Amino acid sequence: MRERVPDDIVEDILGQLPVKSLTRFRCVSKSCNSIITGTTFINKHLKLNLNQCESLISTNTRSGYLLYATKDKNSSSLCTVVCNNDRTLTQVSWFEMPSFFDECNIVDFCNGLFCLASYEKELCHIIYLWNPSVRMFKKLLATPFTDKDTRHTTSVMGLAYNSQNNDFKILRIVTVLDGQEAEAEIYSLSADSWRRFFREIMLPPNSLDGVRGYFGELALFKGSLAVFIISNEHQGILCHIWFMKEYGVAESWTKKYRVQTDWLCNGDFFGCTNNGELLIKNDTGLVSIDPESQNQNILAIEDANWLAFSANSMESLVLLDGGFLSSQIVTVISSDFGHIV
Amino acid sequence: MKFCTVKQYFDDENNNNVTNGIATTVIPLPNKHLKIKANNKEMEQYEQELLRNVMPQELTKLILAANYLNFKEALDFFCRTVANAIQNKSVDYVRKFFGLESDFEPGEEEKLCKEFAWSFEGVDED
Repeated sequence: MRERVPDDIVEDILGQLPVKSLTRFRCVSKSCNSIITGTTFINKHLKLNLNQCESLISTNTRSGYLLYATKDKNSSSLCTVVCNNDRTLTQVSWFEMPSFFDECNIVDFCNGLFCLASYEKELCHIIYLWNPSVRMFKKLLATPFTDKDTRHTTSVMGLAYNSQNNDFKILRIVTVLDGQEAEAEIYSLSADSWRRFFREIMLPPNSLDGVRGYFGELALFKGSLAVFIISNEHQGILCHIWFMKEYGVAESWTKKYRVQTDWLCNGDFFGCTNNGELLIKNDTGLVSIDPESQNQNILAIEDANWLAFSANSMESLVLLDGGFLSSQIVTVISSDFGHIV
Repeated sequence: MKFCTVKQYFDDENNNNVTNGIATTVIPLPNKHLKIKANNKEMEQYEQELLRNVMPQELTKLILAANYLNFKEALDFFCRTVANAIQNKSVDYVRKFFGLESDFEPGEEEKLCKEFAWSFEGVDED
């Protein structure tokens, strides 16, 4: 009689498969279904994916991925491209975004999950978590701020993964009256609940002295927290970039660059790549700018209303219990698991 | 550690775990590993050549042999090869491959297949 492969080895083999195959193999047997949907396996699979992407970047095989969203008259879609070392882009996947996401914009993404919300509607009160790899989503309701005067309020959101307790968290901050008041809350996916909290991080001291008419952006720049203060001064539009050398320590803010940013006129800022280039959409189109050399590279992407850089290819098995999207159109041109052997 | 198990293999008279054919594939691997350990690319090429003519079903025997011999590198390599081989295969193929049977309640399996119909697109024919 033919001997069976032991269960732990079957699990090791499954751990190396892409999400589409794993979703299908849930139908193999009850035990397979239970392995593939188990938290331990999902986390192991994610970590393997992240490690492999990291090693590809560190061996200079590739520079990471760009994700962008485009909208045509019928629908919105999410595309992922690989940044090759010669600056060309190769498409990896394309997902159609569900139609009820039309009112929302992507606000953040992390390890294969996307967070969408509508800035106009009640300051991101309605939030969606979306995992395009398994075509599942979940609708969340944050605290509505209907009792405040919404003309002078803004809200920001971020999505992050806590690898210590394998949980996804959403941070939502609503500020009132030009930043004099702020309320923050954190959502935990594993607990499916919101919790209010307060944490202050001081901005760079004297960073706003003598500056009129500015706006600021927070981003991750080469692994550190950075503040971009963009102001309209008599020399033109300037962008001051400050780094926080030691996270949480206000004294460690260091002014790094001061850049002439005419390219930010009528532009949108979309964060940074892992080698410190700024992703901007301006009159030229979609560009990545190196703040040191001030070189502007035009990206081979026709149009996008949202753009971001990611070090990994973002396939995730994480299940969301809000619902399935059976009619979502998907094209996956190359599964990034092809590099295993 | 590896060599202790090999000795035990040769001492066992009726050994069903490792047939002769498999032994000639798996056992030379440690030596080869030691010789070209530094050069990953060369090892990859050697491994590809080794498995070029091996049918996927034979891989389960190789896995069992490598597992019995406690040979981690070979086991890892065979598992990676299997993962690549079954990636685009059907549910039935995977069941046969691993010797598994469907133990779902009536209707359960159909429900899952329907929910994830998209994952069945473009699958290789059996």
